[in-house]
Amino acid sequence: MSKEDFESGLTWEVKANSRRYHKHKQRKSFLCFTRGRYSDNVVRSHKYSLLTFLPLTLFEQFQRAANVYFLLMVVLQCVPAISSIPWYITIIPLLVVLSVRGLKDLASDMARRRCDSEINSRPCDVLVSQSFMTAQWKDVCVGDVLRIRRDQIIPADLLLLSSSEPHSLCYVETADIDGETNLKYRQALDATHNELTSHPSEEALGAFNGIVLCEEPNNRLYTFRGQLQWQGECFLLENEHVLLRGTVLRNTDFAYGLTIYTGADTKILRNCGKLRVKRTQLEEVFNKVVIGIVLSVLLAALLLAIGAGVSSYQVMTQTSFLSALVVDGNPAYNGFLVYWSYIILLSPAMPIALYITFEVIHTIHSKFIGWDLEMYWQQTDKPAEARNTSLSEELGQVGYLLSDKTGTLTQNRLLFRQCCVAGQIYGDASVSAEDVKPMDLSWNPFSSGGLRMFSPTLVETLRGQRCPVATQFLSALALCHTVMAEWKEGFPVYQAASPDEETLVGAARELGWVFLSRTRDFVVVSELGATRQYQLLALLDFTSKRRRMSVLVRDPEGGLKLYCKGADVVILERLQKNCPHQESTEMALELFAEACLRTLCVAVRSVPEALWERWSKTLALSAAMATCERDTLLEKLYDEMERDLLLLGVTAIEDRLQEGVPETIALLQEAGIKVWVLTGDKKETAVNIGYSCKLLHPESRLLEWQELRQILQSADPQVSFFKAKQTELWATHKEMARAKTSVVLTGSELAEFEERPEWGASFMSLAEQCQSVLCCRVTPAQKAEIVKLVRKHTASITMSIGDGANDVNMIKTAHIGVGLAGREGGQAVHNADFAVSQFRFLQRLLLVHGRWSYRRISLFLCYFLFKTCGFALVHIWFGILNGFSAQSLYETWFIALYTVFYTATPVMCMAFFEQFSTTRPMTTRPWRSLSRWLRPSLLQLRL
Amino acid sequence: MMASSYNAKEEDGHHSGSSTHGGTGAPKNKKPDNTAFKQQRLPAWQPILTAGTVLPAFFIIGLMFIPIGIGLYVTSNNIKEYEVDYTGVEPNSPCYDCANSFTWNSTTPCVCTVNFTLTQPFESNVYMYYGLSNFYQNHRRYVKSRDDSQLNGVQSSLISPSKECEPYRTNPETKQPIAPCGAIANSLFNDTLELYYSQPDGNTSKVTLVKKGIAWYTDKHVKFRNPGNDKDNLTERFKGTAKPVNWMKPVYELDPSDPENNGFINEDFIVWMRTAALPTFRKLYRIIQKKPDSTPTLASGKYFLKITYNYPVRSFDGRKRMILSTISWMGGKNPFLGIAYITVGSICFFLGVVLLIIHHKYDTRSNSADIPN
Repeated sequence: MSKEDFESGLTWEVKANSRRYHKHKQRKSFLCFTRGRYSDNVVRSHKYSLLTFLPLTLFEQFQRAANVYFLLMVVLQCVPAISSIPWYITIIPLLVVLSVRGLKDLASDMARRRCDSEINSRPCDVLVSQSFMTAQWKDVCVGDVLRIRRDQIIPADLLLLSSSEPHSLCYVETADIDGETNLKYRQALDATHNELTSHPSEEALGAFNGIVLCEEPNNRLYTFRGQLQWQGECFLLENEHVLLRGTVLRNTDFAYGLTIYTGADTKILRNCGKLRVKRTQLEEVFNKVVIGIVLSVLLAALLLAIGAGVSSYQVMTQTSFLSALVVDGNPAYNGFLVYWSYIILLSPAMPIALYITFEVIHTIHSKFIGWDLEMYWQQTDKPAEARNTSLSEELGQVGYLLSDKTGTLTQNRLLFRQCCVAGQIYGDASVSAEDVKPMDLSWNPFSSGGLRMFSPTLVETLRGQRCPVATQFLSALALCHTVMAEWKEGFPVYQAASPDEETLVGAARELGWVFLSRTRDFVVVSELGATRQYQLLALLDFTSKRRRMSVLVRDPEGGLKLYCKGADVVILERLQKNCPHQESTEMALELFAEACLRTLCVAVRSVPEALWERWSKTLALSAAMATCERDTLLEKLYDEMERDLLLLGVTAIEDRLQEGVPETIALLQEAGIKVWVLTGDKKETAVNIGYSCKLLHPESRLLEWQELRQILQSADPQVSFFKAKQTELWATHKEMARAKTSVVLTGSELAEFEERPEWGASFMSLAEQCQSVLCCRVTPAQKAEIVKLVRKHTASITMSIGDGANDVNMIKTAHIGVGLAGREGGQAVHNADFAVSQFRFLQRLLLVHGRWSYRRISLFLCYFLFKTCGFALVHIWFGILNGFSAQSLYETWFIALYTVFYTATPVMCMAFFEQFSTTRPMTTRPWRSLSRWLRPSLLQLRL
Repeated sequence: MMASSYNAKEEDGHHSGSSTHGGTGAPKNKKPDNTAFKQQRLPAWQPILTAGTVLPAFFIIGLMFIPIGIGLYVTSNNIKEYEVDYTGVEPNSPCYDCANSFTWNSTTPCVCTVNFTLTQPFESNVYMYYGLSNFYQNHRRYVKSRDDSQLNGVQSSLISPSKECEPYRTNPETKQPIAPCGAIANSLFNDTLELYYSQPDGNTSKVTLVKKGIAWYTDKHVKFRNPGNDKDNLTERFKGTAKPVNWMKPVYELDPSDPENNGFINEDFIVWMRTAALPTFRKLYRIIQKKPDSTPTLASGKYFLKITYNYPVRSFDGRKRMILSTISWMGGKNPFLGIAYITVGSICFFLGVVLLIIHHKYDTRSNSADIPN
């Protein structure tokens, strides 16, 4: 391997069709020694083998302090001088707990093993000496050439060599990787496409002897860097040339690929990290209680031992029947032995079976959540799901609910309602979507209805080609996107990663600009019936940081155009100077925001040929660079291109509220939960949505940044906050005033906040007195920052709910993350602890399941501690009556079977089935504060 | 089943596309079952406390518990019990001399006599107990100091008793194993109690005390057995063993009157070996059988108790008592249960009355089923 390769990080070498070369280097492992580079294509998600099960499971279980404690007890009991109860008495509960836990792990491991072997034995076609043979997945080796058929799952990470489609395109579905169900295309290199597409292709493929140099295996699903050295040339490889394991080939008869990464090296397996273990607060309280129990056992044993010393001294001085029994005639030594005896005797106070019972109860509670019919969403056939089974009781203690807006409060079923082209507003959002008169679009053969905008003037303008800005605007809508078109019964069906794009492309289709198809290099659009083919030069991706995307195309006339669409702030700052219609457009933006519409600005730029040539060269250079450097360079490059834009117009999309959202928010607020909404939308839009979903009361006063800042800067924020309210609401009752203030912040203001960390505490104490907080224009990272702020300054449980990839940060940061199984892919759900389908299901999740679970578990813990402590404390009392001699009052077997057998059922039944009251009053009339009812039991626990 | 499919999903998590894409089967409906269990609609009972339910509950409890308590109390009171403390602590008590002049190696037993009067006749079977106070029979080292297999007649344990018996395992001088070994056996209660009735005509008659049937059946027949062959002489069977240090006689001579009541199956010994849970306890000593005719078992009048004073308790401030008692269906005399029932019943009744008054005076609502939140 050359030095150069090392420097660029391309150190993974794959030789096509040389199985022996790679087999030789395959990774072999024996115990903890591994040798070789390439892993085989066998999935091993199981942990245990016949030999390792016992040591591993014991190792895992003895990481629990309670288990170690009991093991120590068993050891102590083996010392005859101090053993107050026989050794087998403590080992029985310990063994029961260890074996139950071990069997549970074993069973789940067996399930994994079965699942693995099912995956490993899936068939696939491997090229062996110029013909394809059916082999199993586990036999696939790095360097093999595979043939994937339609609808087959791809068995390893492949370099696409060629496919049955023109240009060697192929389509994949990545639902199992990121949950997105839209098709994505992958394309082979021109070189391999031209050389290897022949009939029959086996011969050409068999002779293929390229060498792939690429990155070491990593978990970045969306980037790939490498080069193919073949026939003396070097081709750069990108993500679009790669088929990832776990994706499904669609709409393509055959695809041929060269295996690059197998088994544990594949991107998806590198990605499935371990599940985070979230510990609930109750568990932490409980751990403290356990420590307290241990300490008090030690203390009690110490006192009793002193008693024993004193009493044996007395016995010694008398001539009594007992005096000969004092060991060595030494009361102090006697007391020392009794100390250990009492530690053993009082050890049943330590709730050994509690952890395992706790787990069982959590699992059952999670199942109840999944089984609940009232949280089942018929339309998508999705029940609620508790992905993290150990958090159910936290649901009952949520103090702060931080919600995303789009797709969470709203349906994310987007309707194109209005647009503003060249300063002119078309459509009327005041008419509700159902009442919009359908326009006559019969002239357009591709129209399939569904446009909720009535604006004949726009259609006339467009058909008459009277306004070049309007035509450009629609061209931009039809070109600037990443939508795939699938043809079904003569109509294009659009598949988009983002619902916004789908709506915009759909709207363009209705208005006569029909996106027909896309290849790697071309986008075909029918403009009012005339089919035009645009050459796609570059696609500047959308990221949540950039908040815009652009395409650079060469139109059939040969002109270079950059179409850009994105968030208004981003676009407006990139316009050319003195851009026409800017003011009128900004007014339109405000109008749209007031009508709760989502806006996107569309702009265009004519790119000079010289600039493009220079730019494309730099872009080509960047491909060979290391990832992090390249990212910064790309950002700079993109920024260079997206400048001097000419504003075309604004689209306004309506996103309607989900069913039951206002009621749910009102109910949660009544239950004492603070609801915060964090959204990327504009302030006006967010505030309007806030009013319509009852987050903001119509009479409530909005406290904005300027004022808030003054309050925070003042010496005593509480006082000035109060003053600020009283000046406005002097007439109303103080308490009322308190409840009716809401804070509205924007992202840039939050950024200022981060610079002044000392404001955090006072801000939170103010926010606690406000009805709600609304943060607009926040980035995903800021969302997580806000969650952190709340977590840091309050003791409450925070819950985040969101549906999109931009909410993942916040979902992961909060105590409890809820993913809404919506239309924006499955990323949020994959990272969440709970998944529901509708926002209003939170009512039931929090106020019914959460409450029940919290109450049951609180009761359960108290009951459990009561029964174990009660059982052990008898011995302290009895100690006073038997001369502090560590004599057990019970028959020994009774001690052994008490916790794990005799008293296991009632406490479990109560933890499963106890219902504080029926569900009805809880969802229709929650008490003002949930904690009021629950605190006593927790307090009791702390005592 | 819903449960199993849920589980599988949980377990394999997000691995490597394990979901069944491209499968042919029709998609399974994930709608949860509408069963009472899964929807948490199992029949439940939630008591709502209203005046209408609470008041009758109080009255019913009160009215039920008071008669039960009275019944128990009366039953307990009908049990006759008489207790004599013969420790001999006070200088004027008859056993004062015996208690003070006690020495372990005295050969002549010290005898004292305590007089007492029964004011009421004792009917039916009368049980005679000895009671000890401040005697820690529940001390762990004491409780452990025995060898159950030796007592069960196992020959090997007879020869080499368990280590638990230390320091009463072997005789320090002869090095012979002690039978029965251990501290419990060593401290066997060995006072002899005899009861005399001084008849109104001036004669005294000895009251017949039955020493059989005072031990548990299982103890006598299962747990305790003499070692060796039944045909052999008991002395023969215990050959090679030493008597416990404090004993005057070896174990096979405990009861000179009845050869069947000797060795480990001596009933007094068995009763002693069942250790008491508390430091103040009584143990059954003898039974006075009911007379066939209608005369009371123990007529009222003067009695005297003749004690052969062998057992020292003064050194650890212990007390010794003799108790005579009849029993009823609920066992010995125990007024506590009856008093507890009467107290709880009275409190409930009283509370019921108070609550009724409050309810009548202050309840202004027409419907009392609601409780204010």
